[in-house]
Amino acid sequence: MKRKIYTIIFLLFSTITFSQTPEDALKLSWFQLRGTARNQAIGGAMASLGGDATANHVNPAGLAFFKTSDFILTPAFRFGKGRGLFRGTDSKGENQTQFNLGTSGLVFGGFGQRARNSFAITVTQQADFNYTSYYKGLNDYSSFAEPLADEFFASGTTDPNVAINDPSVSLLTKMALWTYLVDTATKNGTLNVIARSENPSVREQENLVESSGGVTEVNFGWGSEINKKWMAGISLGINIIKQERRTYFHESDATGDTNNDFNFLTYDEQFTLKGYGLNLRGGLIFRPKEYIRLGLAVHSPTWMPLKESTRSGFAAHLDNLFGPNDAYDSVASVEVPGGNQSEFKYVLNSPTKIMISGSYVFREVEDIARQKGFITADIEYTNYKWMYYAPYEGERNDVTKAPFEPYNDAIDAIYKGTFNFRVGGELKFKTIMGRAGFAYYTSPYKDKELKGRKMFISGGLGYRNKGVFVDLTYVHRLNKDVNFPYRVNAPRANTFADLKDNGGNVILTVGVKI
Amino acid sequence: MKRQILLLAITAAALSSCTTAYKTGQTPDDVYYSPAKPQDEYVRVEDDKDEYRYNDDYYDDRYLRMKVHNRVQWNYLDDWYGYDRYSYRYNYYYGSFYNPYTSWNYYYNPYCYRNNNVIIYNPKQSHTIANVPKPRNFNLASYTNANYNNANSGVRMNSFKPGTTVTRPAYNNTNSGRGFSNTVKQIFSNNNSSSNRSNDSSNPPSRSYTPSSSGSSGSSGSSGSSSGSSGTSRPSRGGN
Repeated sequence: MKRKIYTIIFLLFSTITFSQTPEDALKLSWFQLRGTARNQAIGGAMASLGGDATANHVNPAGLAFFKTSDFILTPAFRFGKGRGLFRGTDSKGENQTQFNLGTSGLVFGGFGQRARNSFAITVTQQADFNYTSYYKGLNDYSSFAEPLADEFFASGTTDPNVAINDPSVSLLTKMALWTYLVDTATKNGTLNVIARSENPSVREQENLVESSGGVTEVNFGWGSEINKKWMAGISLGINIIKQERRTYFHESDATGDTNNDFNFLTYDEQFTLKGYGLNLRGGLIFRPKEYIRLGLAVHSPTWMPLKESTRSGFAAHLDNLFGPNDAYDSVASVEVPGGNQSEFKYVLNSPTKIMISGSYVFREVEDIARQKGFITADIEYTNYKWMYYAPYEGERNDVTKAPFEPYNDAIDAIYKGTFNFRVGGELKFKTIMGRAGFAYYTSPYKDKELKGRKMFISGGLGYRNKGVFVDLTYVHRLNKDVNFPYRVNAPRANTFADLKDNGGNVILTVGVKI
Repeated sequence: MKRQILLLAITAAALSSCTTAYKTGQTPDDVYYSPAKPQDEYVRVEDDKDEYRYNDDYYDDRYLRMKVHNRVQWNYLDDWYGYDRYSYRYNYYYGSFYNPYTSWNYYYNPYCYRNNNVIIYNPKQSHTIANVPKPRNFNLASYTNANYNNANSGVRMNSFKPGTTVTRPAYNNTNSGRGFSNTVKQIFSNNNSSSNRSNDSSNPPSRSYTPSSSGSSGSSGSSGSSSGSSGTSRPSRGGN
């Protein structure tokens, strides 16, 4: 729908270079785990409860509650619509539907002496990159080309053709120079760097991001009952990471003036990210009294060797600047010098997570007719400042780490430590169960003006009889985030969009006792 | 979508084919309390007919079966069944000059040291991005810039009509004064003495050079031919 607005189709060639940002690091670190339907119904809390396959991904000590074995599958269906508020204009995105996977796999319980050991092989979708965000609005303050003109101005040359051949100048700025959107001009005898999109007093801007992919994790875990009061566990997670993201940015002259040397500009970027990740998780569960469970879990950083590629194109229409027959020009990044570089590899480390948790189980007895329910809550601490980029291979020294330092400094400057909360409970009536839960992930942004959060309200039903169990859950999400279409230098002010992602996820877990 | 429906069908088939030991009686709930797995109540018989064995009994049995079948046919294997298999098992030839695995490495593997330790070397080049243009410029100062302008001075999407004159807002935004890293300070202090970028927060920056030098294009938008640079030049325009 939105694509119809764009009158240009770019020929995108393979131009692959380094384009990671702090926002990309956050996408790989700020998410809610997809557990079983039972787990998601109780807000995802699982750091002390145990007895559910999700424990393999949260606190593997919880696997020790298994004395029998389970085989489970958890398909899920996600839907919803995004909204974007940009400079006073509210825009609705398109409906999105997507199948996804909650925790599925095998748990082998009751092994070893006195049946105290359990093992699990489970898979789950950790992060979901399937989303579309859209916003548009009028802007009488800044232009997309402002930082591009600033970069050219700071490059140390007054000649656009020198800058185009300068490897330190970004491909986007080179393309803006190529299309004469950013240029030099002599005004009143003084040479200036100009961005022609700054000529109109007001511009219409719109931004569309279409993304797909996610992080799927395969986890191998072990849990052991040390004694009646203590349980311990450890697990190894292997992540498979894939994202494809297309970003369109369009800026046009909103004044209707056809003599101000600017009609519109369009930037089209296709970004692909592939890689894998490794992490370790360990935990303890302490039962000081019967029915009470206290949990502690630590998740190591996920070490992610990643390979990314970016293809882009740029176009500008400059009214009658070059005459009526030469108003429009476009360029693919492969056409400008340096645009045909090979793909780029790097390592990203996600932050460590620490969780404490408590559960109260009503009637921890074998007779299921006497089991009445439970309540459980997790508090998780993580610090997004702990994310960092590093060289992919070769010796790691000050020289090889230097290119990543500005990115890591930016991560330190804009992100902070957060507490995340998950709480839920279950009422059990012999073979039928009812559940409710809530989860809240606080903003990772240091600046209070940037509103980010993930909030989930959930409810579900379960049935367990004759060796089979079925759980059905609905999770409603009310997420907020921000998006900067471009960033400018102080004292100029940045502009950003407030994004909302509201929708639901229906999760079904079907399992068999084996 | 078809793939996902197929996945669901496979899921249903896999689950329906599973057998459970809990078709009767209560189904344990591991969250609350899980009893140990029910044990078989009959005598357990060791059944190892499918085991793939490599012990001495296995080889002795096989040798006898072969000999019974034909006394002379397998004579050439007598040595192996008699003693070579023990030699091989206990690495009789391991490390010897005659062992093809070690002798090849000894003479021909360039990464093999003379003490017979085989080293597999994977030469990986260190990778730097110094000369790779970035798709977008990354400026730490813009990321740490906490000045925000999210409101227009009076125009809104639904009420604005082309041709309306807009007065620029008179903002007085200042830096928040937060302690940024030394890198940021270096960026701010790295001014070019021959050029000037205005520091007015409310208007687009003017980027002028002093003294004036010749540029590639004038304000009238003439063709942008190169002024002495080598390499690729942007296309000339306005020549028709």
